[in-house]
Amino acid sequence: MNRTRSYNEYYQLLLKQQESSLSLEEAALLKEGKTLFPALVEAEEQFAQQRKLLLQQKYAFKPFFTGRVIHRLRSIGEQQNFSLMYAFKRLAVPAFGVICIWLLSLFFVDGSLELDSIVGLADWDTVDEYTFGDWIN
Amino acid sequence: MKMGQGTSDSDLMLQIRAGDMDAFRALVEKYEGAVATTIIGMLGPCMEADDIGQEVFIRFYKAINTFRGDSSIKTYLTRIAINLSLNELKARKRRNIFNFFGKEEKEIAYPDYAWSPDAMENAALVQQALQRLQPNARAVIVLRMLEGYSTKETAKMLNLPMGTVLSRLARAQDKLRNILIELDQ
Repeated sequence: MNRTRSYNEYYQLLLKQQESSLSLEEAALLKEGKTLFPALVEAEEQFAQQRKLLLQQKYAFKPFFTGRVIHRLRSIGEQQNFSLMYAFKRLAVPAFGVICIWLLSLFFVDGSLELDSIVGLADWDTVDEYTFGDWIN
Repeated sequence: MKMGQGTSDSDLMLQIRAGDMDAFRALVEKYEGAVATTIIGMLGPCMEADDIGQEVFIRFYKAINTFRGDSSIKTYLTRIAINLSLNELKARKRRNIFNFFGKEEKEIAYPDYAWSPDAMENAALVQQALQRLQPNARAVIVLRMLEGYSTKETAKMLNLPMGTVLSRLARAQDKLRNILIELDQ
């Protein structure tokens, strides 16, 4: 039994038609709708105009956009180099100072800068080895 | 060799990877139109559009060694552009909440836009209409109808199921038609 469809039902088919292909039955229904509701024909034309209008839209950035991108890219590179140099100076200079002070204090305490002094074994004696061994056993 | 529109994308990529800045310059010139259409379509002609456009190409340059070429350069750039635009719209919304008692941010149109006087009226009309759509609806309209991507490509770029894109497109087109009729009167 045929039932009377509302404008909205036909309009939904028209919307669907904008992006998907309709089945034969749906296409026939839409055709029927367009004869019943002239507003559907008008809407279809408006959709076509809208599509054309949107596709025509081409925007552009301000002139010399490419130059600005390259400039920004270069300044980022310089910034990174600068920050690496800055971090190196901030870390390396105090660390070098600390090492110098430590070596000086070592020299004043042990009187030499031999490897044994540096690793803290300047006062290590063979007697200590026996003591250490006894303590372990 | 002078690089330009004729140089293939794969050649450009090889040269950029080798550190050739002229090749990168050629790539920016080739795709700035597509990126501008996406960003200005999403945000309107505002001051941030240019900055976000620059950011798109800088992100691309930084990720150049990880670009596998699964999609075209244009698609990749458009994807970055749409994501950054959506982020900017979210940030704009947050700023507007915090500016509740202050002045609302106003969009500033560039005076030197490359629009012909004839197209100016239509462009302004479309811009106004687009800005009245929700960001998610605007994104599908910009990708599908301004940039001309297929619904499948649009779905992939927005990371959405096809059905969602189709329903958003239908709703957005319907709303856009009503807005354009209203603005035209």
